[in-house]
Amino acid sequence: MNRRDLVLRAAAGALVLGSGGLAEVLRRQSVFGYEGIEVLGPQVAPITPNKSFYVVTKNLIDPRVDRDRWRLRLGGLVDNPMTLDFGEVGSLPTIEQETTLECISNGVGAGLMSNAVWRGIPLRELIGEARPNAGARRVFLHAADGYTHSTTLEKALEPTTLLAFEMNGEPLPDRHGYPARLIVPGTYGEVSVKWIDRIELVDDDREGYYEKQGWQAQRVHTMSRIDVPKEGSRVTGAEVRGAAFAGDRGISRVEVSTNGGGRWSEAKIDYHASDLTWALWSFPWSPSRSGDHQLVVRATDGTGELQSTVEDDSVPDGASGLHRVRVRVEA
Amino acid sequence: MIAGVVAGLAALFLSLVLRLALGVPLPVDFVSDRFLPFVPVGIFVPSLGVVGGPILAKMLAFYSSLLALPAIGLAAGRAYARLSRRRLAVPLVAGLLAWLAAVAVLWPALASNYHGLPPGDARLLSAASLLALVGIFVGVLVTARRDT
Repeated sequence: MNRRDLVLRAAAGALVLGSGGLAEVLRRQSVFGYEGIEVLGPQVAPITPNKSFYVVTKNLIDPRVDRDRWRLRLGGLVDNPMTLDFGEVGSLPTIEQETTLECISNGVGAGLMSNAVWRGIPLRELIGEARPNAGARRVFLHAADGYTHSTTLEKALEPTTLLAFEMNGEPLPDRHGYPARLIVPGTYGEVSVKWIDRIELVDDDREGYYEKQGWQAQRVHTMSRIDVPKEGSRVTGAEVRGAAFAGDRGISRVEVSTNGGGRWSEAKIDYHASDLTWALWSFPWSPSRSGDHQLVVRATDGTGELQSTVEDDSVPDGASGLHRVRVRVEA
Repeated sequence: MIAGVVAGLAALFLSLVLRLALGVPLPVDFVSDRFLPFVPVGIFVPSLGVVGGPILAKMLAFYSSLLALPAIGLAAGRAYARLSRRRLAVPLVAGLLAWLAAVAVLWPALASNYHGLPPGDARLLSAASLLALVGIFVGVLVTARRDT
């Protein structure tokens, strides 16, 4: 081996070690440890702690945005384009709003859904300041990580659509969009853009990241889920519990069947803070016979519309169908 | 051969430094942000299932991206070694063309920055970072291959 080869091999070794160390730092920051964690089962509480709140992201490693460097730009078809730093945004009057978010890829009975109290500014206040042109009809949203999504100007101007910067009384965690994200009630989570840095009013139908793929996230389907008991469990009779959600339409009723959908009984709604949140429900059950039972749940939204029984997966507009849990009752 | 691998490792090391220090997306981020939106959801979701779900797919993307630059380096090193006369102009022109092509193709994805740099500044930084990656790659390749 000549001197040149020796130097090259040493350099290769040093670069492998150095790159390995840096890659390990990035791996620890990566989404591998927290993406897709489901909020399910007996531990489901009315407010989901920030650490447990579900995360779905396009990224391998989520952004860590420097708040001092962050700016929110509001432009496009407006008369008064604006650029605000975090101090300016934070000095505006805020509201607190409890809102549930659900991922569009959440399957029937699955747990990509969580509930939190958000603090922020109604987006319509900012858009009003920017003075939209008559032709503006959609809002195109940009994030620091290159993510984009759109929604209608009408939805953006609803009083419950927030630019949020606090979650359950704390600054937004990095993984939930620090320093600011949108909360767009009534739509699936992908519209509630995290790490938002630009809001553009447009008159066309340009599509964002997931919209180009074909996802249609603008209306949450009414869903209901049984958290307790679990599928396949053996019980002697117990309380049946779970969650129901209908975007921004609220839940007016939850019904449970213990015989596979033949007969329905109304469950008690224990927690339902507003139309924007999930309803946590319970149903006391004293089985009249031992053996196999199929529990089924269905919900009715605030407009009186019953949950769809059509079984469909989450592609492209969210899953539908009734959640069924099979249990064995022991004497 | 080893010259190309070292060039690829140097570019990989720089890309990781730029990601951690300045929030510049990794090459795999640029490529996925540019092209994944065009994969129809009917193909995208089943594809994730094939590799074991979104987390495993991301792990696969992350770790394979770490191998990509040394692998490209290996190929480039071999190609360079086959040139009968190792003229400096060849890798320089090839590097410049590769950078121009990357900037042109990835242009919409260059405006992102994981530390929150504004889009215009982020695009400049991304383009400069890609140039630096190509530059260090070519520089190490040429230096390491130079006859002693």
